[in-house]
Amino acid sequence: MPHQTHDPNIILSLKNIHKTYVQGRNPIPVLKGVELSVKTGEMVSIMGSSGSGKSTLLNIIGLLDDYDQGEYLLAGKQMGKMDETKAAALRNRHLGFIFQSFHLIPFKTAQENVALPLFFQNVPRKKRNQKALEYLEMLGMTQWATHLPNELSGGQKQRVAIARAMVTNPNVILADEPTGALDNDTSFEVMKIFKQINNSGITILIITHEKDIAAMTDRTLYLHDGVIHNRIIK
Amino acid sequence: MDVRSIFDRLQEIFYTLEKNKLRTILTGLTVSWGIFMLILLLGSGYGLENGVHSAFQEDAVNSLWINPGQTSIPYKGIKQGRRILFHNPDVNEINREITRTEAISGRFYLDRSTNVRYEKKTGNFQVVGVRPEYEKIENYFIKTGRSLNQLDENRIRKVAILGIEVQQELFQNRPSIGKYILIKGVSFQVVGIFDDPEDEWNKDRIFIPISTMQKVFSKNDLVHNIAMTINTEDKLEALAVEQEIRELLAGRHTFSKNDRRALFTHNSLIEYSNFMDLFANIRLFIWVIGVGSIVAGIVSISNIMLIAVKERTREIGIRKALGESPNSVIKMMLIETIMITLGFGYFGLIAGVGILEIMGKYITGVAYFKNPEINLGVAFGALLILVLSGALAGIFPARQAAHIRPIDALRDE
Repeated sequence: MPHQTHDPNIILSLKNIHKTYVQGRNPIPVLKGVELSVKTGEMVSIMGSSGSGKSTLLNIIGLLDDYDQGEYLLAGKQMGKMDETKAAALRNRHLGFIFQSFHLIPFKTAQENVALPLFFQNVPRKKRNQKALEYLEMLGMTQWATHLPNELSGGQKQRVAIARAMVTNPNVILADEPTGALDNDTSFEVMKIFKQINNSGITILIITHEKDIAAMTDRTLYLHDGVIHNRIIK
Repeated sequence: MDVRSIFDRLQEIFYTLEKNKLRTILTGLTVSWGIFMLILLLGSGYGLENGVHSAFQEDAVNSLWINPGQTSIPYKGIKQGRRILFHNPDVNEINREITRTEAISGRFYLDRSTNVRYEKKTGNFQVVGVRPEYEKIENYFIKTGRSLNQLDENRIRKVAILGIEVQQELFQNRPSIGKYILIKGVSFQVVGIFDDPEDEWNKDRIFIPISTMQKVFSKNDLVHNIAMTINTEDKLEALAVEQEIRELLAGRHTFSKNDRRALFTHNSLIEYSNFMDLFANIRLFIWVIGVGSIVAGIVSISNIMLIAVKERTREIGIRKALGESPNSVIKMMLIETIMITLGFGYFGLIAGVGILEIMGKYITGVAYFKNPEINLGVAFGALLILVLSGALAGIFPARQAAHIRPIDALRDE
């Protein structure tokens, strides 16, 4: 239970987050007091050079990794140390993921891929396939519903991934270099789709190293030397 | 978990297995083979057992033969080395005193070189003098004509019954009943032909009344050995009766009842039960081998599943990231392994039972092999073993899968 009054407008709140990796005998501090807060409905991008800890930060926010110090509130709830079962359930309910290499399951059709998060919610087959189709439709992928991922182009695969990320109606969609594997035109298309989704009220957090992509978001934060800055540090 | 979600999960698993056919099939066949061999071995073992059982059934299972020997222990002032001989009174005494004996007969035999002639045909056969009730002890049956009876015995008639091979050699296909043959030059009338399908030795014997044998071919009422059936099916009781008879004869012939060489007994019940013990041991051995081959199958499945987990690391990572709990991953792995084991194991089971059935149909007339089959209990036992082994095989891969960390699995290369 959060013991401070929580601003219902803030969907993501990170305070003084520290994370250190232990490589052999030398501990490597990656995050050294990250402060971050995202309002509901914002589209925020985080930029940083490689090795800056972007992925680590995203993993922590995505409940895929834990942190050593600090406080993380998601939708007003404390996200402290928890067992994997609880974390998985929370991920499923509150978060949607989009990855640079799409990470679709290769032997499932587009529709089945999109429906998968609902399978973990024990939604019956017919219903979840129906919902999956709805979201594919939203992304203009209806006629590709029964195709396997290897029959789709990069842009199409990412659209399927986006549909999958949305199907559970998450609070926040986390995108890790979503346009990294796409050409310029396709990247643009995907960002347009993000904007559309964002307009319907879903919060989006994008990790990217491309300035043009970051420019299309509401706000850009910079991760440098283990902390968040509002401006680029040269 | 309700029925629909279980069904859903199974569909999910079937789909995965189907998409990875080669891997699934290779894995599964090892288990099929294991169960197939087990069923085949077990069935053949039963076939052997049934064959022996049947062979013994044809001869009265509870028959006892007593053969005299030579004393090996000095007793009551008499040195060892004395030959023991039986006579008719011994047979009568046993019949009178030992309550559990049913049919009993002394036997006197002329050996296999005994010359028997019909018209121009001659042959050499063993001729045995027996009482009429011997038929109950050896379980041969009369094909044509009649068996020896008490009247033959009382009137010391020169009559004979011939084994079918004797009939073949002397008469070929010509009628034999009522004809006269010469046994060592003495004329006997053929009154019956007998057959003994389970005993090779009997088919070329000739039986005549023992009274006749003793009068015509012997000087006195000597009896070479004594055969009888005992009214019991219990091994311990049979041994007790043997001991009773031993003591009775030891008293009559003045030898120590502990003298194992003065008297030899052949107790078919004991032999049968020894066979059965042997078979129980063989069966145990077969199970050990069978289980061993199944264990090999399990190890192989476990290995393949471990490799599969490695292959599917990314997929499992994705699933976990999207919200699959570790328990669900473990369950998925276990059910997959069990399904492979069960499915392919069942196939091996059917194949094994099928082969056994074919064997049963086409391998007939082989001595000591009959009805190689598995009873339902064993089949279900095998199936149970399959399920358990599937679970066992699945444990290691399942644990591997559960420990996959999504961030490691999803690390972009």
